[in-house]
Amino acid sequence: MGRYWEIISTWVVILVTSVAAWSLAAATLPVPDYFLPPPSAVLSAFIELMAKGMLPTFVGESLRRILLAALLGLFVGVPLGLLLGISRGTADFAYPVLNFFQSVSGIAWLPLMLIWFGFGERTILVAVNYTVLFPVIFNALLGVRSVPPIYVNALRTLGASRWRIVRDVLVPGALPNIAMGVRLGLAYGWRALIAAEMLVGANGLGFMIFNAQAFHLTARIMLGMGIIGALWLALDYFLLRPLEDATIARWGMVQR
Amino acid sequence: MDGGALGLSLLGPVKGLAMSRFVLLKHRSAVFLLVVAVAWGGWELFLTVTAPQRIDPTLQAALRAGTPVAVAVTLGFAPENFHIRLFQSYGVVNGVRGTTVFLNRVSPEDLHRIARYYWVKRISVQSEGVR
Amino acid sequence: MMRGWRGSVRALGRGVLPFALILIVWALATRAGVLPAIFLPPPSDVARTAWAMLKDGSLWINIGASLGRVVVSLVISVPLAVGLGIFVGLRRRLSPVVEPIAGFFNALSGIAWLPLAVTWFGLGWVSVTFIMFNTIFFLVFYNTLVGVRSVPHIFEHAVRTLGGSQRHVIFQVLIPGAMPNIVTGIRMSIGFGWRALIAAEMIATSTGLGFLIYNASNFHQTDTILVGIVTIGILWLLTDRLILQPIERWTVERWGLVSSGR
Repeated sequence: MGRYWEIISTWVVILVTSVAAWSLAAATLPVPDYFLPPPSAVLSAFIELMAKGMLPTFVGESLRRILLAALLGLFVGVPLGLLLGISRGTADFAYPVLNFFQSVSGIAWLPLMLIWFGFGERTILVAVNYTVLFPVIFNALLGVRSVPPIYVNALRTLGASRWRIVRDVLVPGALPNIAMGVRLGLAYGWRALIAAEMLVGANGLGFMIFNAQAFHLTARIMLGMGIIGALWLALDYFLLRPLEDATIARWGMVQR
Repeated sequence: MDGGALGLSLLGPVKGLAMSRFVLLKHRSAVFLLVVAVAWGGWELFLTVTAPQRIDPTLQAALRAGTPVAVAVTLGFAPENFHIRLFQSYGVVNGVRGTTVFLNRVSPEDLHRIARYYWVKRISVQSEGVR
Repeated sequence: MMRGWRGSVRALGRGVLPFALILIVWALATRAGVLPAIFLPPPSDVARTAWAMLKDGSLWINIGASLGRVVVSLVISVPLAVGLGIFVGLRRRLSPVVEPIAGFFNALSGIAWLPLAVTWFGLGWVSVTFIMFNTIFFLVFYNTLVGVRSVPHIFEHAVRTLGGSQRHVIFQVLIPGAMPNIVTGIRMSIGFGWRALIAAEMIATSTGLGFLIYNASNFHQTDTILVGIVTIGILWLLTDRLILQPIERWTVERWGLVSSGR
């Protein structure tokens, strides 16, 4: 119990001192007003953007796009990776290709996408979906390939069909890698989304902070940054990490 | 599902411990998704229910004709670029005065969509002598 | 891997074959006029542009600019992050509180700092380097913190029972114990940072590979864009596979047993 009080009191002290120091710095530093808005300004920016209906739209647009990319990654990327990984030939062929295209983030493709699709929603979606897809496919492939052959052989000696082997050994065995791939893909994808929204516009949190900079609305920038970080934390903590932990807890042994 | 049992039994003693942690972790995600779904659904419901209140009675009558209308959308604040661009997807923006945006050629469906925005205060017919 | 030279050649061939096939399909597709040349130029055009850019130095300048920013960010942020991570990790009351805060800044992706950086430093290399510095710093700091805290106390007690000082504890128990986490953190942060850098260069500066490809899109120079994209991919692949992964593997082999880490 004493430990909890220690931690809570340290939290309170840190929070209070940060807010106080921040406000003090904002008030006294010899910089233009827009350099460092005090915490109160960020709070009022939050209230203002909520009242004007802008914040829900920005958050909603960004979340919608990342959700679409996640769905594509799950329902197209995972099966594709599994398929590629099952046979040694296709896996060896696909591995360097996937590795290379994964190294080129979707944002690097954005200039090309701008020429193809112009400044619109499609450009953003292509860039983000690409960014999410490749780590997912790559890790699904790795997952399948990393299942120890002894398990596959064990089922074969029991006369299991190819489909049975896939369903009962390869897929569960690949699950920890798949979960990791999804988590990595979405981490890259969320960041690519913010960058794409900055470059292309079309609403969204990236657009919000980028646009705010043009008008020196620094409080909005800080608000946006806080929300971007908080959203990723929520996604990671509530959805992605439990998924990864659960697959490792349940099937992780197969990896060793 | 005997096939699944074959795979799991290879994990042997790990299974017992892993299962309990699995349920706990799944719990956190499930609660999160449930909260999000309920909150979102409730919010959308609220928007749909409160939408008609924002439309002026005189305008309601005009809407029943089914033809595009010219409206004055009053907000609680001076509109920003964001709002102008948004309205441009619903009709032709004909001007802004103070907290009111004048919008022409709005179809009834689009008008109902505009009414669903919680930050819109009032939608009325454009009065004479205004632009 | 103890293969003979024949095995290595075969492995190289296997690695190159898929790309050779892609190049062939690409060349055939453009020959057949599936897409207009402005959308996807034939590989020969791209190769020609690449050669020209290599010869006149324009590619090297931009590679140098981007890599230079990577190096500067690394050199400044890694020692700072590791040092601070150890400092905070040692303080039992401070670390449980700082960890979630560091985790939050971790989640705040590098590119999200750009508008703030531009507000403070204007457009140019300072803002862009700042982005990468942030990305690397917070990730390495967080990983160091977690790594230090996850070293089993028994090792520290062992050193102290033998009369070791705080310095001994730090340098012979904590740093080696946290090494796998630290090196993994450095590797991951360079991955994230490199991507953030490219994006930032598109927006906020006028040199570097990101700027190269974004600027080229304004002039519809698709071949330049493709040269840039390939360069970006190759640079990352080389860095990761030839430098970062081996270091990580070596570190885990050497110190992986000490830490119970995550």
